[in-house]
Amino acid sequence: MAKKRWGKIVDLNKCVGCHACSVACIAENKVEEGKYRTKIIEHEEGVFPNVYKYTEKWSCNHCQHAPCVDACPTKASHYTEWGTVEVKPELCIGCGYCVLACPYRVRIMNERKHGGLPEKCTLCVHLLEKGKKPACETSCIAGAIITGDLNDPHSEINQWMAKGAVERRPDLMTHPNVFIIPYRR
Amino acid sequence: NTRTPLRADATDIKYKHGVCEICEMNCAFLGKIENGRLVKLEGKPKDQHSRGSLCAKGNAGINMLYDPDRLKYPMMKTVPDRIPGQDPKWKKVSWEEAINQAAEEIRKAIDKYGPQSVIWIGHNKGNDFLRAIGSPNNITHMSTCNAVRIWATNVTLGVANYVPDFENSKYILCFGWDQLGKGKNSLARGMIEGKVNNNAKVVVFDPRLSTTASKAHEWIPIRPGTDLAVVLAMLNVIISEERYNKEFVAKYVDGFEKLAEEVKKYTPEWASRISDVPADTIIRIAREFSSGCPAVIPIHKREAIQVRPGGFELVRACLAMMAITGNIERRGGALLPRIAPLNNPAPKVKPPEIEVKERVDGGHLFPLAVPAPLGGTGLYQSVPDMILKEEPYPVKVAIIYGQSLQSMPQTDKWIKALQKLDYIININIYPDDMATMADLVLPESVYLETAHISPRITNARYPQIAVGEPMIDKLYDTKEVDEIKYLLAKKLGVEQYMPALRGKALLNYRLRRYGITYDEALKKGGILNGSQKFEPRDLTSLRTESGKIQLYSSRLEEMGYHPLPWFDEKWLLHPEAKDEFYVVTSRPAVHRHAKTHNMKWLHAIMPEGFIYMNSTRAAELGIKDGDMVELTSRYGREKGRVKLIQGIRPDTICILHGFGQKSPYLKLAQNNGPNDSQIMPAYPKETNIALKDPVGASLDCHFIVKVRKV
Repeated sequence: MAKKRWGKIVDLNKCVGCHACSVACIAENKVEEGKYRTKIIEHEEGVFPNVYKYTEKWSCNHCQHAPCVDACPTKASHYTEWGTVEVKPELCIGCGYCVLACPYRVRIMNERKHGGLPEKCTLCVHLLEKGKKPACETSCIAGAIITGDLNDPHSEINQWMAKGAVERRPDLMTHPNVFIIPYRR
Repeated sequence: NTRTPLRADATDIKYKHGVCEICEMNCAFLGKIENGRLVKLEGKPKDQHSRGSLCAKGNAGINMLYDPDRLKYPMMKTVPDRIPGQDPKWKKVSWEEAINQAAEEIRKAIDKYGPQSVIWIGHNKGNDFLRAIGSPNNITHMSTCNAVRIWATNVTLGVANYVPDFENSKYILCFGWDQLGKGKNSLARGMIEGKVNNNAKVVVFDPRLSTTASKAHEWIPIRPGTDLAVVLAMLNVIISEERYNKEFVAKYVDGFEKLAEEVKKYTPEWASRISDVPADTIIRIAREFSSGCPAVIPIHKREAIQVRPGGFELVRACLAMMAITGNIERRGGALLPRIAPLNNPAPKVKPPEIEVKERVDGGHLFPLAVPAPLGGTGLYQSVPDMILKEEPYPVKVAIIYGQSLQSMPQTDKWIKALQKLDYIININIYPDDMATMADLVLPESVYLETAHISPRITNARYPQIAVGEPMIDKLYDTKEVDEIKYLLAKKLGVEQYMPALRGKALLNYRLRRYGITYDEALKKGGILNGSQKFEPRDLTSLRTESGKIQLYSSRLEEMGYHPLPWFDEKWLLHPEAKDEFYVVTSRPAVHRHAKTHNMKWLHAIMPEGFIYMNSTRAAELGIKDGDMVELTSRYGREKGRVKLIQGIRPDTICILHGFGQKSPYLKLAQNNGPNDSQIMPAYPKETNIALKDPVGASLDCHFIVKVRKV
């Protein structure tokens, strides 16, 4: 069987910015209060009455060329065999270089767990492995999120890919596994 | 395995079936219990309401359960004054003492002033208790909420609600409807699927670029309070151009000719002058809506467009527009609700007829809104005046349940009225402003500690019952509201007039018609399905005057109201001075009214409410983003922070509802921003009568404020 490559797509035409994903993620992953592995960013552009706005779910993009992995002095930040980026707490020294290196600013330093280590979205791989969906996707009230195996040509995520999914900030050359379908006016 | 998760694995994990009670959608979920502690709520994919998802509020439900600020035992106030947020010097008492005291106060009031001097304010759960003691005064929150929708739909379709079938729609037309922005789970999913998967065109009229408007193909920033004019003009276009569904109208609609005559005067040009919407746009949208495709106009509740004078007519006009285009009880249009019935237990002894028919809210003057002494939705907003004037009789004791001070329009007037009472009993979860004003605080259990059977009346696309069990044992010395009512009735010696079934026997009785017990329902997954197939209902045997869809109502005419949807230019308001604005209200996605502000995850996302204002207009007034401003209306004064945006009309501000908590006992929610109710009117009944609204004009969300930087 071909190796899995987990990925995610957020359709910004569906995202209503309700924060269900943020809160579900906090509950599932026991994220520290006031910190977010996934959050909502609001955009408003234009001048009345020609205004448009949209919201965007913002979390780790699981880059295939990840600045955070490059920056890590102890190889605690690493690529997993299924294409995601994770942190090994037993190797992490809490220097915070990865937090600074991430161009998407999605890593957070927790203060409670393990005495201050960086954390971020894991794509809920612990749920994906059991055939479940990540907490954010399950909770999304607009059905704007899809997670799946990008290497499986028949997966639903690849059908979404065909709808015009793009990388966030391709200019950064990080080649994320998390994509967006951009907001169309 | 190269992955070392940053989480300790729990040893003992259990799942239990639950029903969310944060909002009226009642989504079903599974609660994950790790080592005896509830840690996560997960939607159930089999639930057709939630379709497996839960909103931010639903997800954060466990915050309410484990909130350290919760009320933990009954308490009595030991200082005489009632000032919201002031230290009541609470004294802990036992349930026995609390019930004795409450019953004594109720008994005293009944003996001296009659049973009508005891009133119930808040969620509509006081009926059986009031009937038992003989008081007609069930002052529900509904006239600040969904009363307009209930009665307008009742007159037209003979039901309390209709369900927008978004998924199959091709044209979704919204007037101020923003359930996407409010994070309404089942409605949001349907709307997005209709738009993205079914390619429905979405058009939103709203003075503000709401979340729904931002997802629409077309956003029309209409002048606040003028939606009705636009709908009437659209009816004019559809009828004069003969674009209505003649076959459907002939078969299922009553009063079409009279409506056609009435709307002749509401021309697109007339509506355009009132609403700022170009006449061409009104004509085009009317044509698009009546092109024959499945089309729908959703209506929810407590929306600024609807909860105001003329709101009743707006809902009727929207229903008329769907009716004449053949979009009632049609896939992709407005469906009649499909509600699974439950057995309601009757009392052992039938309570005697209530002697005093006259209600304190003047509800008897609005026979549509209050058809019987205890029935109906009431006129919440006229109560404070009546208490202050002691008209038609003095009120002495109030039992307040599920109602916050932040939801009481013209809050200062309400506070004065509450201060006049002899005794206030507050059944509450939180020590909020209302609790600090009460003489006796009775702690209610959180929904995660109790059993539930919910028929899910709101957005009932399918008859589906959700059954839930307590997630964990009660954390504190709290009780459910039904038990509190029963204990009070027992102490007053009238318990024979209350339904006697309790606990599991009651749960089993409610499900009996389905041939299943509560325990079996849980074993089956906590979801009971009715027929899932869509079978259109007969539109000639509705519970209306003619049995058909009722556009012209003789019943309203007999009561002295306008039998057809109509428009009165007196309803319109105009800001005149440079610092005057229209007000619209909205609710954020992460909070439900004033109920969720002390839940830590939600508080972290939105700790403070604010006021949206157009940045160009703000610059003219020297107001910068984040500035504190003072809002002054004819009804009150309030301070809040502004958030400057471009997506709102320059002549309008939008206040988020539910904020403005002062109680120091809610450590997170205290001082969380402006209270919109403070500046809203609570009309005396005379004003309500003058407004000629059969629902009593309901709460009026349409008013003008002066804005001043402070």
